[in-house]
Amino acid sequence: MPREPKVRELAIVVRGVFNPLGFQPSWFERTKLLRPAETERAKLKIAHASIVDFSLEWGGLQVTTDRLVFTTQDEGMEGPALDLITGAFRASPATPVNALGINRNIHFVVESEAEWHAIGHKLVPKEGLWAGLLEAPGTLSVTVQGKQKEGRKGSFNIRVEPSAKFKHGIYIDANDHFEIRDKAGNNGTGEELCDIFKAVGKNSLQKTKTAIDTLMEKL
Amino acid sequence: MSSTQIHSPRADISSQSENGSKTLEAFTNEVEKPIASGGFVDLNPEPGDTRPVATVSHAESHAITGPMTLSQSRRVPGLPREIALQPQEYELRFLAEQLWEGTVSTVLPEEFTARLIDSRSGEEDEATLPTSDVSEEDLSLLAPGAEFYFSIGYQYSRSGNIQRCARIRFKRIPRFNADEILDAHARASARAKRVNFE
Repeated sequence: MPREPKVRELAIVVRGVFNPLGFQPSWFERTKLLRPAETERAKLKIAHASIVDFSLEWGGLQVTTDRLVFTTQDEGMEGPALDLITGAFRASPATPVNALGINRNIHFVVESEAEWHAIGHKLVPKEGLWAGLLEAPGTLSVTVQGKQKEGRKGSFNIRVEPSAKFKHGIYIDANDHFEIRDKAGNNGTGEELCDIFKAVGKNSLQKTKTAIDTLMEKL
Repeated sequence: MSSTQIHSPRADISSQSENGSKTLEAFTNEVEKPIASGGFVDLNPEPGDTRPVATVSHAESHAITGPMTLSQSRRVPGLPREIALQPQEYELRFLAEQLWEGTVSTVLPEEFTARLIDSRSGEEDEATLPTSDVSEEDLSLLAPGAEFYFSIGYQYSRSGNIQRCARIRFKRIPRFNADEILDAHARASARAKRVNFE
């Protein structure tokens, strides 16, 4: 039986220097980046100088002074999620930013404990090496990193762990990471971030999906 | 700051084969014996299990731009301690069977035609869609050349309802009009004069 994820999530993460109070639902309504009814129904959990956190029916936004995270479990809204964050920084092109991550993660469950352990051993064989060093070794987390193509600064990271949500579950996370700093380490701008979104955004959505689906099938 | 690179142990073992130690293939054959435990650390131990619970949390991320859903234990500088941040709870999940991006060709009173591109296969198609499928708040965006997302799939609510549905959502990206650009230039010029660079 083909494996299907129990949970699928997309998370867009931007690192930079932010004023969280500037990212409240009312701002997204004024800039017409969200529908008026969406912002009316938005659940604002907190609006503080250090953090703003609100949720929509289809996703949620958390902004601190150095990190913006938009997450959604709605596959049909991944394009709109990308547009929303692109639009936010197009409306604030001078905002200092230094990194972008397009992340996709899943939890899937296997049919038996034996199968679950077999996957852990496939990732990190225990016999011979770890069994001689540790008492009852088990795989906790494996991360593998690849480079970005076309000379872009950044990396593509895949992490596999036992799921903390489901028994006999496995968690896979694909992080498509782009650096926006210059050679001297200075922050880039929101405008540069929008250029990156335009150049790689859609491709990144597909790339992270393919990576995760392939790994889920092959483990 | 860059992400930490972790080498796969399988790659390390295969590179040792020239020194006479086990080849990767032999190692794999050994591992394929049935193994009842020790694959993964069990993060969901049964009551009475005294094995240490792993400290890794999906709320933390090794990478700078990994997903960082704020867990209850994470404190944000300046935030009152008694405010506990909850993990994200979604009202809706949607699993898409089909996804397209469309561009409106013509608009008629009760329907519109559009060019669709399948988001997964890249195949192009023409379609006629009822205007009644467009939400009231998106109607003002319905015009020739407007871009939208069209998805068909299953919507799951937190209350447990599952509904098959088709959705249309028009793209919203700020586009500055000519007046706004001229206004920005004027404000920038005025600011430059005030600073009076020589």
